Amino acid sequence: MDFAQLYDDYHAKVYRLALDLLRNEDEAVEATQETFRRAYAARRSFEGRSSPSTWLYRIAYNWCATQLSRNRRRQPLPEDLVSTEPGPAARAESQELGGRLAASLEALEEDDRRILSLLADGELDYGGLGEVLDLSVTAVRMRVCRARRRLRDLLGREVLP
Amino acid sequence: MSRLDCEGVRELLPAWQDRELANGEASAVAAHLSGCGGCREDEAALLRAWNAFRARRFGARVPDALGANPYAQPSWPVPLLGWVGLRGGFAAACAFAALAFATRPRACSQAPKAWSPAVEIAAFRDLGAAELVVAADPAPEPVLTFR
Repeated sequence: MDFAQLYDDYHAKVYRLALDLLRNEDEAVEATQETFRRAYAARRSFEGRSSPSTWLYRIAYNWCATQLSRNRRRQPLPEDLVSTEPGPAARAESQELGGRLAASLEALEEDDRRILSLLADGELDYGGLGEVLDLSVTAVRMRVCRARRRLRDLLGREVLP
Repeated sequence: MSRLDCEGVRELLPAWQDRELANGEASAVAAHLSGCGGCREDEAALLRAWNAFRARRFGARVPDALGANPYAQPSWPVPLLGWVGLRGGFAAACAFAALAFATRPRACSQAPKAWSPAVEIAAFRDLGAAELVVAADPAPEPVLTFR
């Protein structure tokens, strides 16, 4: 496995996934570095049963899920999960889609945000999503459908006419 | 199409857009959409929302801290310092040492004779020298002139 190439191909995608899940740039950087550090340590045990992207996303997702549960214990108020300091990503988001869209996306439920974030890069199909989330393809299809419809409901009313 | 049919199709629309339906289901959805304006609007709204979500993600700049690839290998000379490289280097060093030993300058078997005026004079006599002058001090070293 050419690990340097793997890093070049996926570090931006892993970072965006972590940013979506953690909603904090510093934590997303740390999650990305930790994902690749763990993957590098385990690279010899990677058997190729899943694609490298599925393997990386699973490591990243598990790390982020652990961080989120730690954050919840540390900061019980939901609004504390979101960085109050507007970073470059938040500024770009604001410029691109407007504040109302960002606010609407903040209203997404955690489960919906997770599954949509994993799906958004197009690296994972429903089977890969099932491997990352330990779900059957049928369950993934139901959850994706539900999340996409909620996203449509959130954005469709005001933001996207 | 009945409302139930529309509801069933709308449940399938996200998977249809993600190309995750089997051929039969995909064909059925496509056929329904071609004749149902309401479901087409729903499908378009789903797609707009999904594209907006994805566009928001791609607007995120990747921090410089992640730009430098910490796993990139320098091309020289670190790879040669691996196990194979070390073994090869050791073998090359041994070969060089053996070659140097085999071609080393050998010591003369006889020690050089000390300079002796008598020996030199005898040699000149053999050549038929008529006169031999030996320079005396203060010459820094013996000088023989052959005439």
